[in-house]
Amino acid sequence: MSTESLLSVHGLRKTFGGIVAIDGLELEVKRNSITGLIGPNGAGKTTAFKTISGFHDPDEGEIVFDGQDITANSVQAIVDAGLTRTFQEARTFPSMTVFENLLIGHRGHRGEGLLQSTAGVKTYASDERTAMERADQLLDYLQLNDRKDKQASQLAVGERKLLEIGRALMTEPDLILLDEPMAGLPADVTADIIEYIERIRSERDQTFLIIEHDMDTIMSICDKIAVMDAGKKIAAGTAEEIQNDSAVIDAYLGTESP
Amino acid sequence: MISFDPQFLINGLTTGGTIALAAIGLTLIFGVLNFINFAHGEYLTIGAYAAFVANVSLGLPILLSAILAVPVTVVFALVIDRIVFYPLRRQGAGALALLITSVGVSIVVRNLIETIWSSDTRRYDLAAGEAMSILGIRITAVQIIILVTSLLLMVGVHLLLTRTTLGVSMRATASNQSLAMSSGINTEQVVRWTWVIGAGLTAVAGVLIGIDTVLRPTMGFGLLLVMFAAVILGGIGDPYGAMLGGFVIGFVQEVSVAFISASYKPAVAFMIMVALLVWKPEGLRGGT
Repeated sequence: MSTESLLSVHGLRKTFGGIVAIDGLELEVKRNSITGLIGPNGAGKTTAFKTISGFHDPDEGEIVFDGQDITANSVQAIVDAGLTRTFQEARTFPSMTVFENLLIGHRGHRGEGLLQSTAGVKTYASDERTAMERADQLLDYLQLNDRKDKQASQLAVGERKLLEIGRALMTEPDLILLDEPMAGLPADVTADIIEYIERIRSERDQTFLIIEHDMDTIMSICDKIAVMDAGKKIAAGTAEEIQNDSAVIDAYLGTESP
Repeated sequence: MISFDPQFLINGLTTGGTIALAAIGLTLIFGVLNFINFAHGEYLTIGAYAAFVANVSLGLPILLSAILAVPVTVVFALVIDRIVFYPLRRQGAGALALLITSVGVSIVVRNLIETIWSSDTRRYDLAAGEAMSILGIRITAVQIIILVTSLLLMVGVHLLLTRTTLGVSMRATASNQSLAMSSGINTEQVVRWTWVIGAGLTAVAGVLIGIDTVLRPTMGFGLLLVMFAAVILGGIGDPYGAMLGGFVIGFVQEVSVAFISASYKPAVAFMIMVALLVWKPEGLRGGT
């Protein structure tokens, strides 16, 4: 396992009107790690995700991903660079089938041009075939085979979560940001998803950055944990280091039960 | 007692076909951009008058004029988006701000059309078509053209939405824009293509209505509320619903003529719309 940084965030600042949501955030995510981002409500975690993934432009600071400055890039350009995200509640395209949901994430799709998607049928068709093969492989991998032609809205909540991770994997990412992947999941499903995340990391060489309120999850799967409070990183380290950090205990564990 | 006259069927289908075409454009834009474009009726008028210029002022055949009306309307819609709606979107304007702005665009464009071509009614230069009789129903060549054109374009829309990645990207963007973006879809490009397709279909609807009846600067605006009714009937944002809604509204309007004065036709459309909003607000096709 290499120890270089896949994602480095320096001096990130994001304000909304007079409210400072992120105030000089520093963050490092090592390649092939599972890194946790925790902090009390309102600490700026979700804003940090949105800014890193391109939904917000930061006021100041720099986001370097895979050696490339992506600070000012659009969401789509960031996805193309290999960084994608999931959302708090399992988001899928409910009226599309599981298979279609996966195809949406295929990065090679020439999709959005009318000419590309109608003319040039040959390359289009072969690209489409590649997309379908990849989607089939992912269905296998996530054991969603028998759900292939079901509408996403008919899936159980855990299956929807897997589908969302599958759609993220279809974009061929290097780094996946997971926003509270365990929110609203029953305990046995949480255990399954944890297992999948660990397998995906080791078998598919992925890196994860996870926001999660469930401390058991965070402490059990994260190699590194960064703690945010009031828009700043106040600590970073292993689960053990974090649990014994006095600033963390003051800001977080002391004021809010985990 | 009034017996059912099959003539209503063919009239209803042709009226429904044109409403459906225009309503698809309206609903696609709503789906992708999440705002109700009040200027949509003017796109229909622009399409009709563009064909008028080609057909009457330049003396081109009506088919060629209709084909030329499409790119003119598309360019018009793209320019309006670029100079009006796009800057608003970038600033994070909400659906209400966009809606009010589109009302303004509608008024400005309608008055410009009136300034240029006056408020007189206009006609295309067409050979008067003979009506033929099939199974006792009188059908004119114009009605056949309207029906065939609108049905072919609807099949085209269906193939586009289901068989091309652009169509799937459009459905994805309409379903959940931020998720579509995170999946690597260039949503701004999807928006542009949605304008192209929506404005193109609406231009064709405008020309078809012009062929069937007459042109006037308020023709699109007058139809806007009927299009809303069709869109709501089918479920807002759902192109198949707009097709269904268009045909239902067109059909009911024509059948109503048997019972009440033809000038109340639009009122019938609204009664259906209001009734549906009360009893089944998610639209006829349900919450898809």
